[in-house]
Amino acid sequence: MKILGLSFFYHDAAACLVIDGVPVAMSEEERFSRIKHDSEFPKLAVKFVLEQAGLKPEDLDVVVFYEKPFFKLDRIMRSALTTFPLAPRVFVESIKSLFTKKIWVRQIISEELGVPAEKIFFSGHHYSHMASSFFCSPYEKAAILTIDGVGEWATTSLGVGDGTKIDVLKEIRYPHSLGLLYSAFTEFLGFEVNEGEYKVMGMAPYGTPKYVDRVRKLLRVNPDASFELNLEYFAYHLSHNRSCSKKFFELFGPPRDRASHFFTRTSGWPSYFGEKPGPGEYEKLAEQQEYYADVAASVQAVLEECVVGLANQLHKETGLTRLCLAGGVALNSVANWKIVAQTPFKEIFVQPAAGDAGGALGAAMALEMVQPNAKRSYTMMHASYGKAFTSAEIEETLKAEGMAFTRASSETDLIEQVTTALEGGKVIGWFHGRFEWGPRALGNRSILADPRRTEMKDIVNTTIKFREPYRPFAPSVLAENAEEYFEMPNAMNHHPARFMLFVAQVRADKHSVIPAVTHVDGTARPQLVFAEDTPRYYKLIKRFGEKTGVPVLLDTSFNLKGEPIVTSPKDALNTFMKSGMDLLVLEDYLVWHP
Amino acid sequence: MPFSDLWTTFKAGYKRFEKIMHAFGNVVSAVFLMIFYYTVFALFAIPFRLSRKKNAIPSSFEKPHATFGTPEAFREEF
Repeated sequence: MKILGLSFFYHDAAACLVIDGVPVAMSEEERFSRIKHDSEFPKLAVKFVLEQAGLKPEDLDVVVFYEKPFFKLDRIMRSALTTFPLAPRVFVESIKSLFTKKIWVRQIISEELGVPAEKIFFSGHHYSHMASSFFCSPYEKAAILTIDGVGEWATTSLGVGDGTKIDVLKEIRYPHSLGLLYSAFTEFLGFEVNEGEYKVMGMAPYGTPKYVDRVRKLLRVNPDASFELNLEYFAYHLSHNRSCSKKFFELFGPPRDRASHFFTRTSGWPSYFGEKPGPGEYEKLAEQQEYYADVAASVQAVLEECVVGLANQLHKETGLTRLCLAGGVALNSVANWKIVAQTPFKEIFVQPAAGDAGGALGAAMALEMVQPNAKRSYTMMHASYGKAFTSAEIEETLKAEGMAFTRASSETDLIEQVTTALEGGKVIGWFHGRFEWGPRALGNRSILADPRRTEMKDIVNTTIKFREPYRPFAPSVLAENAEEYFEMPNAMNHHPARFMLFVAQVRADKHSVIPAVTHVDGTARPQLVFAEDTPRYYKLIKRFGEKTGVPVLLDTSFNLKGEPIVTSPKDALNTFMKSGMDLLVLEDYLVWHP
Repeated sequence: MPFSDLWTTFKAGYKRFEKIMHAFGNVVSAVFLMIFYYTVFALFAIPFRLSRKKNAIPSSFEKPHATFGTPEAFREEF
């Protein structure tokens, strides 16, 4: 059966093609449209997934949307009734967008793809999330926990997956939402909601959780781990562009200025901020910014408490020891590891696009599993589901752009040249195979550097990616060497580590060995690389390890700040030319920076 | 009238409305909806709010709102 799963109209539109229970191609729309978090109908992603399988829209058996538009309308209308007369602008904007576009999903899909309306189906938002995790996991039976901002009504769902069935046990509904709580702090800390949440996670280790008690005033956690937000502190139910209320600011003070430079005494003042202020001014600014780091640490700590509490409750109710996680909060890799460390769940699964993009995958897998005689035959072992480019396409791009290039004589030659460059302190743009599904670069569209060099973090942050100095870089490590470097017992069994979805402590004796990927609190977000899943990337790290004794590379996504990760050779070339990378590797082709 | 015909009619009407209003369409529809909010919508909202005071938003676990995971459930948009 050929099923096209779609998610769009909120954030991170995506398309996924599942054939006979196996995803064959999937992508977020932003990869093709080049608009970060593009939420419009994913025309280009659909075109790609169909082309990848050699199909036309009429060949599809069904198309499934990841949520139920009228169920969402119900929530929005009831919320408008509940908040009357305080939110007239929300009402006006919601009604306009819903009635002119967002509730006509069946008709829009039918028109865009030319498929009959009766071939179009609808899954539930959280059910899609649950399916995206459980039906891609290696588990026959597992508990499932979904946490995000909001779907139709649910913000947190607990369930059990068994074979081809998912049973949703219970849920917590809007407006009580851990995702929206975290987003409110994202806004307070000067970042964009739905974009900057991972920056809050990166900022947290620079602070200490001094304000946990203040954060706890914002919510009440019940003995069964359910929770209730005190809405007096929030404004997301009253406004489309504000998450925090006046009372929130009375409790936490003024929000961090978006234009201010974030630094602490630990991170220091990077050169690209400009001239360092005088000692008195520096201390004052550092103190201000450290307050915000402490707030970030506090909300992260409270989120972890809540997630661990929910996981413990789910274990208590199900007795299961395997857990599938989904929803935007499942991208919080620090909280994910806390579940393994602090709950009876010793094996967890998260697929790389755990946010709304993953809804496209989940909806398609969920629909597949309700077919007669459905059976599971798939486990997601890697994230290489995007588009690949041929040598001819790459060569054509290079010639069209007038670039000087060489071509490696073999894979061994290529790896030799690249590892020599890495060893010599060069920063490399690495483009190989099908691009990754989800927001992480996992060795297909990556910027690579030597993790042994302390200065690499600053070089990549300041001259390559032009991003904040506190943002950590992730290490890619050969799976069999992971336990040497990270405190991650049974590392190879931890599925999320394949997708950089765990944060673990770097072993104390390795801090000085891989300083460029060790965060300020001694942690790292490793990607375990397996030979059978990403063979060329594995060989690259292995050879680097043979030369240096350290089978680890610094890996960050191949993009500039605020842009989607590169898709095509042309995107890669543009990013390469705008940044200070030394070498671009497009499959077998090498381009040195002029 | 089938749902798809309703959509076609609605879309054609809306496009015509949008064309006529052009630059002012957004403002006009916003003003119209604002008037609607404080008049017609208020007729529903005020009693709803009064009744909700006794019955606050649930603050603990609830049974799932809808049934999922059946072929029939996938056919529905709600």
